[in-house]
Formats: sequence, C-alpha cells, structure tokens
Amino acid sequence: MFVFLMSVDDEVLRTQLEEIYYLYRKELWYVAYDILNDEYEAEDVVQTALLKMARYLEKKVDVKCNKIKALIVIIVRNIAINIYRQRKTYRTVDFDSLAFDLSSDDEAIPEIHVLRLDQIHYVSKKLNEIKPEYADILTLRYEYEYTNEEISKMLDIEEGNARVRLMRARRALHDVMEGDLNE
Amino acid sequence: MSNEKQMHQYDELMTTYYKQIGQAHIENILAELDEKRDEISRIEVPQSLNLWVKKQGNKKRRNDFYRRITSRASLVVLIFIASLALITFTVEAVRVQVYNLILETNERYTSITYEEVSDGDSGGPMDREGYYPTYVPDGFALSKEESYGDMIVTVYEKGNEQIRMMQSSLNGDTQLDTEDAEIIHVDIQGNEGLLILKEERVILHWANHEAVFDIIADIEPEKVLQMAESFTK
Repeated sequence: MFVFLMSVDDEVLRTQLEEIYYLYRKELWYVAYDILNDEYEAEDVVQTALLKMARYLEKKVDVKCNKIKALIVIIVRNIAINIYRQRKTYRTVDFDSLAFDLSSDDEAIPEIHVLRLDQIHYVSKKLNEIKPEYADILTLRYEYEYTNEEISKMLDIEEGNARVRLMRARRALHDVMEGDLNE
Repeated sequence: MSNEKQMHQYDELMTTYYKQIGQAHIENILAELDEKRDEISRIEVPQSLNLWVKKQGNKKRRNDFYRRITSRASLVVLIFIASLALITFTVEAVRVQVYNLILETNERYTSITYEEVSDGDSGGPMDREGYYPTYVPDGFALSKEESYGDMIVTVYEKGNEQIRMMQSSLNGDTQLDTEDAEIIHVDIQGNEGLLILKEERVILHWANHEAVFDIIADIEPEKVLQMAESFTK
C-alpha cells in the first residue's frame, strides 16, 4: 500500500483524488460495505479503489461528471466482490461453461437481428441484475475504452480473466436480448 | 457484399451497441444510488478513512525523504529474500506429503477439500509447466493450453470429441456437479481419486502432493483412467 501511495505524488492528481473522495465517499463506503459487511475491509476497498483511480485519472478532469462517479463506483464494487469471493475460498468448477471459456475471444456471437435502442436502459438494467460485473466490464471496455490489460489491473484480476469475463458478458447480453425478444 | 466486409460492419454495429449499453449502465448506476440517497446520506464514513485521505494531501513534503529510504530498504529486503530462497533450495530432504481427500457429498454436488496429514512443506505454488499425460487416446491431439489464475487448462481434440484437463494448486475446495451421477473411488498413481459417470460424461478428479487434477471427457472411463495413470512432469 505504501508503495502505491508514493506514486500519487502529482499535486493536481492528488487534489483531484481528494475531491473525488470528499464528493463520493458516502456512496463508495455504502457500495463496499453493502457487499462485504465489514468496516475494515470496506475501508481497505475504498482506499485501494482511490489508488487505482489515480493511475487512470486524466489531469484536469471534471471530477463532478457522472462518468467519473460511475467509474469509481464500478472499481469499488468489483474490488469488493473480489474480496468477498476470496473470503469464501471456494473454487467451483463449472464444466459446462469451460468449453465456452476456451473458445476464441473473437468468436462471433450469433447474429442479433434487431437492436432496439429504446430498450437499452432496460437491457442494461437486466444485465446488471444478472451479474453486475458483466455490465461493469462491458462499460469499462466500450464506454470508457480501456484495454483488457488496463481493466485487469483496475479490477485486480488476471488479463485472461478480464477477456473471459468480457466474452461472457457479451454472451449474457445476447441472452438477455434474445429472451427479451421472445417475450 | 463480401463476408469480411459484412463481419466488419457487424463488429462496428455491436461496438456501438455495447457503448450504448455502457452509457445506459452508467445512468442506471447513478439512478440506483439516487434511489438510496436517504440511506446513503445517513452514513458516517469512518474517521480513519478521512484521516488516511487527509494524510495523502500532506504526503508530498515527505515523499523525497521516503524515496531515499525505500531505495535502500528494498535492497536490504532483496538480499534477505535471496538468502531465504538459498536456504530453502539447499534443504536436501525431500519431504513426503500425504493429502487426505475429504468428501462432503451433497444431493447435487460433492465438495472436496485436501488436508495435509504429514509434516512437511505446505505445497508452494504449482510449477507453471504443469503435468502432462504420456498416454492420449488414439486420434486425439493437443489443441489448446491456457492459464486461468492458478489453473492450467489443456484440451485435446479429435474431430468434435474433446478431452479437457485441468490442474491447479491444492489451495481451496473443489465442488463437482454429481447430481444423478455414479461415483466410483479409484486409485491414481497411489492417490485417491473420484471417477464420476454422469450420462455420457466422464469426470475424473484426483490430487497428488502438489496439484489437483480433473479430466472431463465423453470417452470410455478406462481410457480416462489410463490417461491419468500416465501423468508426469
């Protein structure tokens, strides 16, 4: 942790991080604590998220903009989920999904014939309900335009896991849309 | 229109759509927080967290001083780690570890935990080279090998048939889907293992002193067992 703190030595950046913290600290704490139900771990998550944010924050960004707020919430949520999973230390082997994991990253998802823009909020919400990490990773990749490597560092996961999660997210999104069309 | 061009247009369309989904997700996150704003506004963030952030503001003055110290400290730590590694690697005795396979069978799955029952090292990180079988059923060829965290997944293929092998460290538990499956206790190179027969699928699970293995295939159980017996480094 100490080493990371040393890296935030840019005055402007540090000021921005402080602003982010004071603006959103309650939300960040709420999100972390809601997942972990542990004050110390929640505190650790918020600190880690701020330090990670320092790596990706551009100078003189408007810290009050929605994109920044959502980004730090996404980082906090995913780090908290990681810690929650590590706490369980269960390694579940999902045989059926494994074959899917091994398929190529470029594998084309079956064609979607109708993309209804008026349903985007609904589809995104539904995806978030199924698995928030899926909606988060799609957002980081396509809206924030981070690379898989950047996402993996941001969320404390292996790059391969980021790639697999992204692929699953696309597949889950497709399933949500398909289900929606069939309704 | 050529297939390539069509695929390119499809990719572009989907990228735009995913971007739209991302934007909607951001709006949903904010709306969700807004719904809970009464609850959130009552939250008292721990004072220790506020202090931590405040300290970062005062850190710059101290940074140069700390940097000088840390560069020397890291050299000391490096020497210390190197000497520890040297001591570890020169221990001559090869300690034998026996792991008990502890099973907890549920109606739908079987939970497996490995417990060390003899003295010895606690089984460090698995060798990333991993194990491989010297016997592979006729016609199957290696098609893929990938790492997922501490797990190495290897796939052999013959046409549409597939044999998947996984090996990972002994840390953590494994849960196997054994609902409506026949479970047979087997011996693999002197280690206890489980052969799970579920419909057409064969799952073999076992561990040695340093790794946990799974083979999943739709071939005869005898071939899977023969493959497991041939595992070596």
